[in-house]
Amino acid sequence: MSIDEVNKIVWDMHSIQAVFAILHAYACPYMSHSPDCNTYTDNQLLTLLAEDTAWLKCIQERTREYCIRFMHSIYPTAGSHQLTDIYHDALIVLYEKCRDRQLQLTCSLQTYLNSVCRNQLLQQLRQEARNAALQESYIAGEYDKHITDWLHTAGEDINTERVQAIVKALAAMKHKGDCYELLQLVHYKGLSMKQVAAHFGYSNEQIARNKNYLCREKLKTIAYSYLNKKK
Amino acid sequence: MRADLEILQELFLPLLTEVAAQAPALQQLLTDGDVFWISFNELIIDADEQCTQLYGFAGKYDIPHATEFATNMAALRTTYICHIATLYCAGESTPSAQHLLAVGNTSFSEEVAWQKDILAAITLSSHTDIKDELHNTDIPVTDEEITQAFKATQHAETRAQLKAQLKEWDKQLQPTVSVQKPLRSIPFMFFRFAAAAAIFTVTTVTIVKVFESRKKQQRTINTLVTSPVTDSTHHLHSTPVVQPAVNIDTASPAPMTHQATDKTKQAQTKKTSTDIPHQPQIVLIGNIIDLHTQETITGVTVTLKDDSGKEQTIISADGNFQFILPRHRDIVITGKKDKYASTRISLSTKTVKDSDADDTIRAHLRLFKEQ
Repeated sequence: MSIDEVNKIVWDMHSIQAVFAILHAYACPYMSHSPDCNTYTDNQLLTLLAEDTAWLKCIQERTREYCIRFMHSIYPTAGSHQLTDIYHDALIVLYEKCRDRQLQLTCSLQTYLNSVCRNQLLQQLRQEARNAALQESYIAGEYDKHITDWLHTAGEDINTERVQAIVKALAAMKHKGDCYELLQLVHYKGLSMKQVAAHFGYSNEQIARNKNYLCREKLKTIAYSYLNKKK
Repeated sequence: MRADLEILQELFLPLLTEVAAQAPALQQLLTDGDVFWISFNELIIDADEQCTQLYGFAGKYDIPHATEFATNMAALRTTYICHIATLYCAGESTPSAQHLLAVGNTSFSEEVAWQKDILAAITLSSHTDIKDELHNTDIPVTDEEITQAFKATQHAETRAQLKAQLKEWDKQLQPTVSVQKPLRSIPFMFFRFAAAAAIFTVTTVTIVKVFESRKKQQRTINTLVTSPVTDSTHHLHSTPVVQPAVNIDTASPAPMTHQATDKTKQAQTKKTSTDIPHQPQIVLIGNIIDLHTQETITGVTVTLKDDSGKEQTIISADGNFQFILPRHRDIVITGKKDKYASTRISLSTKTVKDSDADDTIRAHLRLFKEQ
């Protein structure tokens, strides 16, 4: 066997290893009950989450049970669906904070999520103008009073009717072409045109910018058609 | 280059290049680089709805088909404003955006409002997407989980109630305790203390008396044996009562000096002590000397340790020491002083019988300076 042949085999083995490593890294968050989730520290998970929402699954595996229990202990009359929904909102808050690089954990991830869930519950009670209070007996580490994050939805300056029309238009566009994904990447995930170009394999950011413009125009047309139908 | 000028160039350059082929003055302008693009940007963002400025631009540089040119430019201007609005909504406020906001450009404001709505809608839609994804991978909250949580809550509630009850009882108990305590407890404590003191005093006096009377008895016995000790040490041929010291081990460079008492004295002792239960007392008298210079060393802590682990320690201020040796034991004696290492004296009293007479052993404990 010549040196070249040996080198080729070694190179092939390296390639296979590399492929497995990449597959592992990408597939990990999608695996159910992946044991690897537990090998990451809270901060490592947050870094990964900033890049991909799929890592929420890992966080969910680690924090969900205790979070739901915590919420139930402070608000026993809540239904399981309501609690799950609040917990999901807390996960969204976590993701958006990570995405915007605004999260500096001063406590454990579990405590952070418990705190957000608590804020979310308080907010919900406030919105529903209910007198029900949370049954709180503070246990150290359960939540952090200084964490004030909760899921802010549509702001006051937003035309709700038009937003609903756009939501409908987006739903219609969802499975037709790349527009929905592109608009989501630009407007929700905050990717630059360069990153969008790289994501879709466009040769330059100008193409991404034009595509974004066209998609937005398309969205506008569909949304206005819904608005006009209503009128 | 500024982001807005980059986009401007990206959008308008193809059209201007095409037109410039027929308008040499414009061709010349395009070579000016940033200077041209800055002034062109001002022209574009300040253009009114009728595009009068754009017609003016076409006329100034002899651009053919001015109407067509102005229409194309107006369309590109709309796209340009949209792009600037996108940058603005993404948090990149360019000078063009600032200018458009300052002049209250309606197209720009509308586009910003529209994009904010898109942002809100996309956020809502994305939240739904994420939640759907989480629901798909979610294990639903089971009834068991809810029951467990409920139990935990109940448990906490019961505890809280119990705590409240205990606090209530505390309040009820407090006044009784505070009033009665000083009145009753002090005399009682005093009597208890007095009784304990009396018992202690009586016991101590009794023990001291017994101890002294026994000591007197012992002294009478000891005088018979120990007084001639110094003489006996010269009789080196006599048989020792204590077995020859297990001697100094390998660590000790010099053997222990061991001398036995006179047999005749032993016999005398035996005679006198027949009517008292006799326990032979073996006394070790030693001095501490330097291994090399043979000079007396003072201030040495001398420790006697027997095979049961018991220790006796004395500090030899004058270089002499004395121990009453425990019976039926292997004994090791060592010394301790700063900058000195000690040899060891090993003895055994295991072979001493009750019938044996009291004995005194003399020994030298040798210390040597550490290197």
